[in-house]
Amino acid sequence: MGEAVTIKRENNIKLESFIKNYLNPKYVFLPIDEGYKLRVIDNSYVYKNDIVMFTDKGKSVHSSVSGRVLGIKDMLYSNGVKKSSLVIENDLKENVRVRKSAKKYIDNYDKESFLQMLDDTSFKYRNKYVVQKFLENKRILLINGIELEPYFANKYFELLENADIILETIDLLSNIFHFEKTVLAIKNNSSDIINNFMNELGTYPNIDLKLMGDAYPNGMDDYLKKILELDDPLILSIEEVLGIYHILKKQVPVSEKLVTITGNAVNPKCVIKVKLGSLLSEVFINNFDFTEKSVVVYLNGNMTGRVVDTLKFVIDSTVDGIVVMKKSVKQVEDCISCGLCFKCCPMGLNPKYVFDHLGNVKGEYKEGCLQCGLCNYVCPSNIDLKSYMNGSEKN
Amino acid sequence: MSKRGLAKRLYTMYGIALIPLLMFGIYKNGIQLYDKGYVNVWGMIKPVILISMAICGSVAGTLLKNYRQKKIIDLESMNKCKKGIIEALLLSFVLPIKSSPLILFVVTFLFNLFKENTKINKVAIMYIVMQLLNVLLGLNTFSNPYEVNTTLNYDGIDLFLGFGTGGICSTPVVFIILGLIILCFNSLYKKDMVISAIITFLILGIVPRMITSHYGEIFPLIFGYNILYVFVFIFPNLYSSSYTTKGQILSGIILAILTYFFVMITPYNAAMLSVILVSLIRGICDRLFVIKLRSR
Ligand code: SF4
Ligand code: SF4
Repeated sequence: MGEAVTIKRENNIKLESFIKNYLNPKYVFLPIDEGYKLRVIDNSYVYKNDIVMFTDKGKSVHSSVSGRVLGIKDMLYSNGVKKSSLVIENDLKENVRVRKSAKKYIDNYDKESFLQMLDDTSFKYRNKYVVQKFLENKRILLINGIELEPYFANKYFELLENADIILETIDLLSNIFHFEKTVLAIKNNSSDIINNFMNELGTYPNIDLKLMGDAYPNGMDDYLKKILELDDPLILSIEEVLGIYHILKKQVPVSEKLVTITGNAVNPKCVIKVKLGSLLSEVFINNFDFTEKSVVVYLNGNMTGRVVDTLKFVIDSTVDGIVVMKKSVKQVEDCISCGLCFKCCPMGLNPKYVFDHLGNVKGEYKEGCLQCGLCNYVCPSNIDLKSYMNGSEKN
Repeated sequence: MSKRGLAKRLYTMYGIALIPLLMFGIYKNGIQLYDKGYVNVWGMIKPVILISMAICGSVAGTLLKNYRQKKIIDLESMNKCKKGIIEALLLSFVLPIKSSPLILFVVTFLFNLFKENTKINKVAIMYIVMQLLNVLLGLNTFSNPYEVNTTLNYDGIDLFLGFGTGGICSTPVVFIILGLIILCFNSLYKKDMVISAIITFLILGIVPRMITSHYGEIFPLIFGYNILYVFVFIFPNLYSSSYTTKGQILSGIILAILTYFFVMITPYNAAMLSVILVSLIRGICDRLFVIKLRSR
């Protein structure tokens, strides 16, 4: 099994040291998932955090802005699939109904009320209901605070600004579910973040802080649990922890998200806070410029992401950012049998073997592939091995 | 660390590693013979001519191939020549000094025109083709005119320094070891297979002779017959050798064993023939370990 690799970053790709905000999109789009019924009609007015859709089982979707409902439109999402979405025209007023005030302390939740709250707010992360994870009765809690993509810094800013909140929430989860072990993994390369956490950790002796090297793919859940030798843990990302805190505190799901826009062909390069449901193209046009005529855009990073030819995606929890790189011709050459792909694979798989057979091999040779893209990164012949591993490339 | 460009760097390192051998070959099979009056000026420059013809054939073949494909000769096709030049050097260094420059040109030209990369070691195939033609033309003896006319009694040191019989530039063991050290600095160089081959061959070459007290046979075997040159420079070819570490070690061991036995039949061609056979079975060597590793 290969060891994590330090990814060489281009020196000229440096992110701004602050978070930019773009919280006033013209429209927001909320996907209408199966089983959801609309609670609003065209041209009606909605307040921010109003319930706009619901299921019979009590799940609900809230509006992230205030404004007028325009109707339903098919919109593209980051997985390349179009979904019917409710369109709300933002009136930029952020009007909210008078509602129960936020809870001062979050620790007066018990297991039932906690699960109920997550369920009611339909808190989803990466298209999965977070509440489901807590129903699996895992004994170990692992919080993944490691940024996976080398050029992204969403987690960096979240950790930097929210050490106290993160620890408080993890502690709460640990107390509610009586985890045998609670581990928080973060990168060891930011002294500011480490200091913040060290200062707070004294109050939380039950949380085990693990400092991991700035290597790839340490931030990948399956790899992280493997190197930390944790047996079947419940894994939450930092975004999920912050999302849970928000829900417990305010009884509504998060309506904002951090997205990194970076690369050697975009200006500025920064992390930007946006409304969930905004269009990536709108965010981009109003805040960024391409610096090259011919560019390649990797949605969700150049390691695990994919090349896209449009930015007209709705930003949901699956969108972490884009890397915009100057287009360069990468000549695919014959495999030189160097074995680097095989040696580096964090799962001990053999992408060269799969490639030699043009992907037509038994499932066991591809099973467990994390799609981390490390094999592509190390391959001196520029072969897209990852595609052979996921079956999308077959000659 | 990004591995892009490593392959190109490996060829550059091959070029550097081969320079001392080139110098020595030009001296041993050219200048020295001229000095001692065994050859005329033409004979003196013959090593250079042979090597140049191999390079010209390879460059011409590569450029023509690219021209046929793209209808232009651009920088990229010039870049591709680098690999062809190194292969031409590797081939010409190990051939007998008697080889015909014209035939060498034709062989390198045709191989580069029709086959850029082969699953079987390309230099080894070109060598066998050359040797077959040499046999037909009676040019296959490795002794230079001095060695033909003198009764040689070289000791281990002489052989180590490269004064034994062999290819044009493939005899100095000291420079082969230096080359091995240089190449080991490139992570694409398959040192595991080379080292396993050398160690196995040394064991096979030394132990039985120590037991039977045939000490005199040890150095001619382990330093002679172009074996170390083939092990270090030709065997770890990028395209036609194992890629798993264990597969590489296994193929190194098999190469050494095959060479050891072939030496008894055709000493100077033993290592090359073994390289071809090992490149044929390399898939099996790798596969053995692929399956094991997958199930870990
Ligand atoms: S993409 Fe799959 S095969 Fe390639 S290195 Fe990652 S886990 Fe291994
Ligand atoms: S890294 Fe690329 S060139 Fe090397 S063995 Fe794997 S596929 Fe072949």
